[in-house]
Amino acid sequence: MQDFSHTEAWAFIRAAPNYRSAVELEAHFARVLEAFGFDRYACARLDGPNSLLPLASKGLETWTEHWEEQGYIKVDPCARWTLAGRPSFAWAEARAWSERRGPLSPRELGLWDDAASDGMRGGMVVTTPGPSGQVLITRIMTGARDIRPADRPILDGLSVIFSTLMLRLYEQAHDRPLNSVLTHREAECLRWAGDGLTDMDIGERLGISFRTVNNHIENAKRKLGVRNRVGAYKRALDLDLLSA
Amino acid sequence: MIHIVRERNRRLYARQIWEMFNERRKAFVERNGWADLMVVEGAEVDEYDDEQAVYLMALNDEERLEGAIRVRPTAQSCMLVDKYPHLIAPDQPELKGPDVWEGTRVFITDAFRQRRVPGVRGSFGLATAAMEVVHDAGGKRVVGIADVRMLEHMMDMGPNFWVTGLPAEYPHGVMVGTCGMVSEEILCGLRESLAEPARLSYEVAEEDLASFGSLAAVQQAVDAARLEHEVELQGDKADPRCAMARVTALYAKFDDAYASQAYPAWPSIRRTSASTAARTPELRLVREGTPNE
Repeated sequence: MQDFSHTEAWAFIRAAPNYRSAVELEAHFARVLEAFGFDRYACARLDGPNSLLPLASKGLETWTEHWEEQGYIKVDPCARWTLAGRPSFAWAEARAWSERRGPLSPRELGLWDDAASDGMRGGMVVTTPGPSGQVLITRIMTGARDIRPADRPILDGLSVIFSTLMLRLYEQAHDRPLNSVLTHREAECLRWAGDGLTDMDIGERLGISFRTVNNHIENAKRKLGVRNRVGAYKRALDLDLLSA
Repeated sequence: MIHIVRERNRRLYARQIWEMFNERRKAFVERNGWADLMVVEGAEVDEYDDEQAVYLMALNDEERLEGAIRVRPTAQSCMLVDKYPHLIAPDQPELKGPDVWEGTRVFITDAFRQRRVPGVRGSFGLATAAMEVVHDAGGKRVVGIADVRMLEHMMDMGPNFWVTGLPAEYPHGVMVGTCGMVSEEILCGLRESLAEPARLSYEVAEEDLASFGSLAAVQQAVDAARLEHEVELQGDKADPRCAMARVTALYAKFDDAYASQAYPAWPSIRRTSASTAARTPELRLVREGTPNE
């Protein structure tokens, strides 16, 4: 390991998949970002050009509100590159691209000046392909203008892991009891599994990740005291636990 | 059914192997932009395409390739350890050796992507089939290298999969080393996710081809037997852990049924020579009336 930040990054990569709560995961992610000199982040799921589901955020809430109020989406090259599917890039690259196209307009200058006034001079945007064709976007911000080249791939990987796990924790948390035994999602996933669908098929139908589907079915199996999903489906039917 | 292609049966897959190398060129050189890979007469080939390589291939009903993955034992060489040691953290266990295999060059064809028909279950099915081969050979872990953009899909393999070290840049993006455990329990879980309680992979031999006439016909017969196995399991309230002995016993049961006059034109499926501990049963599809081996 090169330095403290890289040691922290490795500790996060090892620990993160075992976290069962978003609070734990976010806290560790924030710590490791601080080791790299980043003090703010936001993670969201992009479902379409105008549909953004926030998953996690620290220190960017005010900026995001201001960015939306100012309509900066129309001039922000980071937004354009993200929607175009660029996997990861630094702010400096996006700004340099804008400047190569010609002098920055007053609104474009306003975007960068406002960010700098808010203590953000550099950052990275990392996109991760999510389940069912969605895109996960992670933004991490720093007061420093440049990012060390050696840190870029590590920050990229950290953001991919963080956003993937945050989405799964979000999906699992946003469920509610259907009856005294199963939740809505557990019953839903079990019904589809009983029809012979794969976890991927179920995930596509419900708009959730395959691993979340698997977790719901494993939870249902455990609650119903059976070892396989066919048995779980039958027992749930027998006990009338699948009706909405 | 996913085809196991080893050195001993490669001659049955001459066309598919050539297709595979061509598709690898399309996937890795043209689409991913990995211009540093070696391409010979339109085929992407590297030093790990040797006699030890085992390919898992998904074929459609016309025997056209839909996807493939390569697995290889690492006792002598391993791409991850030998060429990318910087992707391995110091606290990792030994990632090269007699019980470690390496999975590489997984791809799905554009034609399959457009079709989106169940059967192969995409790269996840191929990876599961590859793990069956590793398990048959006594392997305990499978290592690999992946672009970080594939990490979300690889993390779908569950808690028995992990990243081996810090991500690192490569000319086409960011990559990570990966490692996954292999066991019967893990395979059962993966097959459940794929709604496939029976094993996915099968090694076609000369006798099978002689009996059925084509790879497609062999595939059809094996898939029919797998479907019967699935129906059997769904009716079984006992714990249907996919123990190889159970699969073998079921195939033997079907042999008896098919050997009767109920399906006079249907070939029987039976095990011939038993391999050690029934871990790699040699399933041979023979026509009714063919002398037992």
